[in-house]
Amino acid sequence: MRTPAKGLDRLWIAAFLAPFLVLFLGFTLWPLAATVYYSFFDWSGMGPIETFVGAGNYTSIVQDELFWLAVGNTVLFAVVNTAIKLPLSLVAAIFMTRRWVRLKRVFRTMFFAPLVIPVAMAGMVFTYLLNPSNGALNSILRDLGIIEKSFDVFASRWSAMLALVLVSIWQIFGQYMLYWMAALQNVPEEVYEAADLDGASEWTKLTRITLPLIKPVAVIILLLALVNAMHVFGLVVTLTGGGPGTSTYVVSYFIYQEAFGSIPFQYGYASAAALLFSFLAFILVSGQGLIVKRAQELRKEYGV
Amino acid sequence: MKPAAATGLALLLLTAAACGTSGSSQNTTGGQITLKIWDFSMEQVEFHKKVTDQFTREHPNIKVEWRSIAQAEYKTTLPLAFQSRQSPDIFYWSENGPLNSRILLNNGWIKPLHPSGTAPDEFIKRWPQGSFIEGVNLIDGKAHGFPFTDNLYWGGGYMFMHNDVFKQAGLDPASPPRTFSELKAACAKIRSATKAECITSPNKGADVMRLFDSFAGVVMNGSGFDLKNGRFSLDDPKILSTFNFIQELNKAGYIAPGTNDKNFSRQQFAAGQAAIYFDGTWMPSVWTSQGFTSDKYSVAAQPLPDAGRTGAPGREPNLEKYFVSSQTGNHDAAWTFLDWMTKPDGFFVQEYYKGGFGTLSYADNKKMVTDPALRKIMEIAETPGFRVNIPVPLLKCPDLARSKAYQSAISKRPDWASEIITETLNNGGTLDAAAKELVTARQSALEEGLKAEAASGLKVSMDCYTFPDFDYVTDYGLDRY
Amino acid sequence: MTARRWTVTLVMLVVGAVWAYPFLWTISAAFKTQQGMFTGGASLMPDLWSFENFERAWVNAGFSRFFANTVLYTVSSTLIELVKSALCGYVIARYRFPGRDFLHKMIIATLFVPVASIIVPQFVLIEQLGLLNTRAGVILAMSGAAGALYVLLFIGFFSSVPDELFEAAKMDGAGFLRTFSLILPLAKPVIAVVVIFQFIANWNEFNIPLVFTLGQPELQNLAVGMLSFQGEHVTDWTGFAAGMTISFAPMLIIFLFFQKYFVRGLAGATKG
Repeated sequence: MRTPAKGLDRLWIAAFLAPFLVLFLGFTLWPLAATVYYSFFDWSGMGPIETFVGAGNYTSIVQDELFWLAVGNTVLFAVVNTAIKLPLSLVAAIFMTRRWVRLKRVFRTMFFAPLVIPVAMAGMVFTYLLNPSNGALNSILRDLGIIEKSFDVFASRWSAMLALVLVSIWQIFGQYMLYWMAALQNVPEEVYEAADLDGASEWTKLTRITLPLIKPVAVIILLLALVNAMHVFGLVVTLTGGGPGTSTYVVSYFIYQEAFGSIPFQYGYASAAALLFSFLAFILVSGQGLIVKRAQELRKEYGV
Repeated sequence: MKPAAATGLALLLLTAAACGTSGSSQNTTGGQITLKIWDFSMEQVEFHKKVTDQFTREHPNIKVEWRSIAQAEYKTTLPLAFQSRQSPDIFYWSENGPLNSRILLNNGWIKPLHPSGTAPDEFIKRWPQGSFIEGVNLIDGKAHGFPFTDNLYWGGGYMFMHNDVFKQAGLDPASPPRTFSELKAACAKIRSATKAECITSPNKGADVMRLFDSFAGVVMNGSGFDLKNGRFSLDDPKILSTFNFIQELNKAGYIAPGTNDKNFSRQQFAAGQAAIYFDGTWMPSVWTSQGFTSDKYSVAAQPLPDAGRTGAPGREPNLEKYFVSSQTGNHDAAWTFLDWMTKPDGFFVQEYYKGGFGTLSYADNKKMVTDPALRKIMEIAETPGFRVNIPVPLLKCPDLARSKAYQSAISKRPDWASEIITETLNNGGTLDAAAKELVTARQSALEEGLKAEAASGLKVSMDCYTFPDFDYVTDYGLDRY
Repeated sequence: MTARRWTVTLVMLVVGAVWAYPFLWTISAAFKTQQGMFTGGASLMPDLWSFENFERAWVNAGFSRFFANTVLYTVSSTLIELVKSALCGYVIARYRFPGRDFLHKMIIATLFVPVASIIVPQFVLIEQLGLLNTRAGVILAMSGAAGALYVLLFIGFFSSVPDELFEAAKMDGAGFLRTFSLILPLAKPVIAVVVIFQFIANWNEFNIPLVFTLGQPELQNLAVGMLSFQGEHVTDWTGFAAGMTISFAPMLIIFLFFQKYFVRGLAGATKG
């Protein structure tokens, strides 16, 4: 229930909004407007902005097959990444908030640790560990007799994509676990205890108690998960370099390569590509949001 | 719960206070000029400190602040510095080949080296005759840049062999494989007699070109552009057959597996897990810094096609690296420093060689270089025909300095070649179709770009990039333009 | 119950070990030689316990020179981020006012814009404000950079606080500020999340401190110093690993300190 703003409250609301609005205006909205403006120019990122090209940057991006390949990869990456990390981190978070689980502090720290590794370092670590000639993974699998010959996970499109997804989950998992743990604080343990007495299964508890109670936050966590995954960049640079060939190109890597891969920079072009993709992502994610909403409405209608 | 609100307000105040502490002002202190130099040679930080200390001892009124910024960040950061008028007085820039000075001047980034515009004769004479070329580093007769590293020794085209691995395989690094076939035979022995890989080479992203261009270099002048016929050359039959040879090596298991970067491959070689590594003049100092000294490996020239050399790595007058910023307020001091650092027997030169960073174009390399591997590299490079002067389109058509056609034909997708090469190496196919697509796209972009520029009044055409009398293996002298 | 407890603990131990392994490998690389790291394979045991990497890291990354800057930047912008998003999130979640829905939608929409693509206009803004090469400029840019992310978390959290609590506050005659100060402590888990992640992000941030202090290198932070391990021809991975190991400590401390807020939050409060 939202209270309508009245009287003195209005002043307080304005005061509460002010710090955010000032920074939002200065560091997000204004730069965004400037980026829209740049996107209509052929501009190298410095010097006067003169060469107006209209929608030229946009048309050449739309016609670029590589851009669409990158969009496809990015969406695939984001969806698979989210589909794996969210449920798993939720399960982990549920365990981490139960009274009867031991060593919680140790586990939390273990999942937290990868978060602090700079992405260049994470890329190096996995390049070494996954390498076919002397990497740890191959040598362990060989010693166990699971494989005979070493394999290079980055040599083919799908295994390279999978490796990207898994490494990124490894790194970010702790963050989503903490998000869920924060969300789960809204669920009093007493409710679970009562459910336990009724002999409810874990699944029932999850779907009937936990999820409905944390729904507002869950929607936001889902949104953040998708958006963050769509901005994947550093790991692609350090793990695959977009390869083999162009098969693991994602949008941010495409922009980086096309606009900043060689001098002179194509800043206008990069701006257009970034905006276009943000727009596409927004449509995709909100479209998915609408479908979920519609499905829920239908379920309510039919009383399922 | 008042404390919470109070804490909130306190936090705001606290941060406001933190915002109030701003940095001190820029520029000079006590009559001493601060000269700023930027580059991305992070390895040379200690060397820079040594030379700048010495410089200030000799010139007490000039303090030098030499800053190295990691390469990837440097490229995006320097433009911002210029945009906000806080560029350093002297900066490092090594892209764009022979067009470097010209492009930087067009960008509005550089000034002549000497405050009066004309550098003194004594300075120009420090370099071999013909090092200062109008349109390259002389613009309207004014020196805007100077060759830094030399351009004969410096570059790729060398084969490094791990002594122990070679010996284990019953091979002698003193009689290295000299042809493609001998290389293959050597690899066969190495693979059967040792646990090591034969060739290790980086293949992540653009790094795959290190191996490919090393081979393409002795077949044409690399895989990029054919200056004889004026066209992009990746689909040339000679280049394609070179690719097929590399593909054969790959299929035979002679190239180390994995998707590796250059750091990885270099370490793999140094650790004795691979016998052969192809790379450039900088390797001795890289390995020395990692404790892998030159008695543990040998150097030879890149093996040639069985029928003999049909090309040579290109030598271009492109090795200007340090420039005076157009925004400098310390032009005199900047000149003093550049003049000091280019004294052929000066402190800078001596320390540079002590650090083993490479070969300079204004010093007597034969006298200065002591590292045996580096000396061997010099010996190889001096073999006639090892590296040839390739034609410089800019010298044929000075208007190319203002042309963007070639750059934009490539910059649309700079890593295109390496992308299709890795992809094809991985799936085991042939490069022909993909190479043709690349060449067609780039060629028509170049031709159309030049036409458009010609229409707007520049004297440029495809003819500028075509040198029918060039044969890939002999020097294209300055007298032929 | 005990059987389940042991199974879960055992499974978690195995998963946790796999999870922590690459991290531990990085830490162990800080004690290895370049050669040892390369040839060591899966081993977590350094070839020879070398502390040279730490000495090099300490000097090259400039720990003694940049530590204070790093702490100042990290702490201030984390605080600003926390305050601005908690206040804004609270108001958006609990009040109706003109432009509320529009603002909420804007916040979500801007989430899709990659932060890296708007650094040039941010740079122009800081320059116009005359804050280039000042600590204030770095702090402002860093606090602005996270944009809308944490506001959304607070909106989500405050929306799910039971209405009865607000009703109860109203009955007691609590005004705007009093109600906020009653509700805020319930948000401790979200506060902890914001502090932890903003702290890590700011501690490791190198782009803003580099770009906004070009003219005053002494204002840079440790993450910029850490770039010095990536040379033109060589990357000093063991030095980098050592630098990372040293700079892991502050982040771990923050984490351990704030993670206690995950243990018990709202549950106790709803009862009372």
